[in-house]
Amino acid sequence: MSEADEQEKAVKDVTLMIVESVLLPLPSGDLEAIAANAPVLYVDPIHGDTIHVQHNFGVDSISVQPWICALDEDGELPMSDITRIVQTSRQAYSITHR
Amino acid sequence: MSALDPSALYATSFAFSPAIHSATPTDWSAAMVHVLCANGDIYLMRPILPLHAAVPVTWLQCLRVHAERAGGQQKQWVEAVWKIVSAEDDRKKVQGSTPPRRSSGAGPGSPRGAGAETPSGTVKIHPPHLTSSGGPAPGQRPSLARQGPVKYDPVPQEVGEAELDEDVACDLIIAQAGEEGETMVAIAWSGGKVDLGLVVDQPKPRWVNPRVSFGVACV
Repeated sequence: MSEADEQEKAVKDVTLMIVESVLLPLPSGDLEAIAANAPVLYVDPIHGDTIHVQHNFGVDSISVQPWICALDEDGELPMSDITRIVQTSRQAYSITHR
Repeated sequence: MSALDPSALYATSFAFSPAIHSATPTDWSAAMVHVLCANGDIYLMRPILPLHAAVPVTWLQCLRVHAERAGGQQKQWVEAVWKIVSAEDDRKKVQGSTPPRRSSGAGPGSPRGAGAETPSGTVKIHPPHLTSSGGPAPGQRPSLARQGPVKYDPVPQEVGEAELDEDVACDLIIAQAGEEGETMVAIAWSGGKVDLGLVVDQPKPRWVNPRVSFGVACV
């Protein structure tokens, strides 16, 4: 098998199943602020099925527990739980991004 | 499409497999790295080892079992790593029988990074294509193959009312979630979208240059 064939076979071996795409409640009107946004992900140290998303507008918590527990069940999977746990005030954002 | 998209050229984040945190890893996943590009493409490489890695002996024993079945370069890589372990054991025996030299340095005169005590049940190894001091190992060795971009099945959904022109995939995380130990992946985009999914396949380690074999450098 040639090197190119090996590489192509390797590509086909790897699949990621995207279960859900969620949209965090960011202020849609502020396109400049969103363009400067660079979210960072953290796994909750206690609850492995919860991730925290730190972004310019605060911190959101996403729990995938509703659908992780339902993977073996029939029917449509429930949605993840999203909670805004830290909200950056608009004033604070304006000061730090002048 | 990825080849034409300039954002595919920029890596924005990387993540090790969650198995790296396990006290008892059992397969190649502990040495796997996922790399995220700005357009959302994900590439994989393994096995990736730090230069001064202290790994559980049980992991190397499990790898040996996997590699024996797979054969080829997997087996050669694992054998090369075991030779490094044997060489390190021999070096420690020689050090143990030699009285320590006086030195102005902090340690007993041993090279930096070598000879340091490792936790019980672990051994110190380095990637076979490098020497223990980090230089390139002599001779020709196969390079790791970059695998990907991974295939999304099903593909991520479009969410939100307006699609941003400059939406960038910013961060990637791989974590073990659920009671069955499912491996979850999350990708965060600058526009506020977060893709959540599961790692389904465990790709095999791959190298380029299949006809080049591994030697071992114990310098």
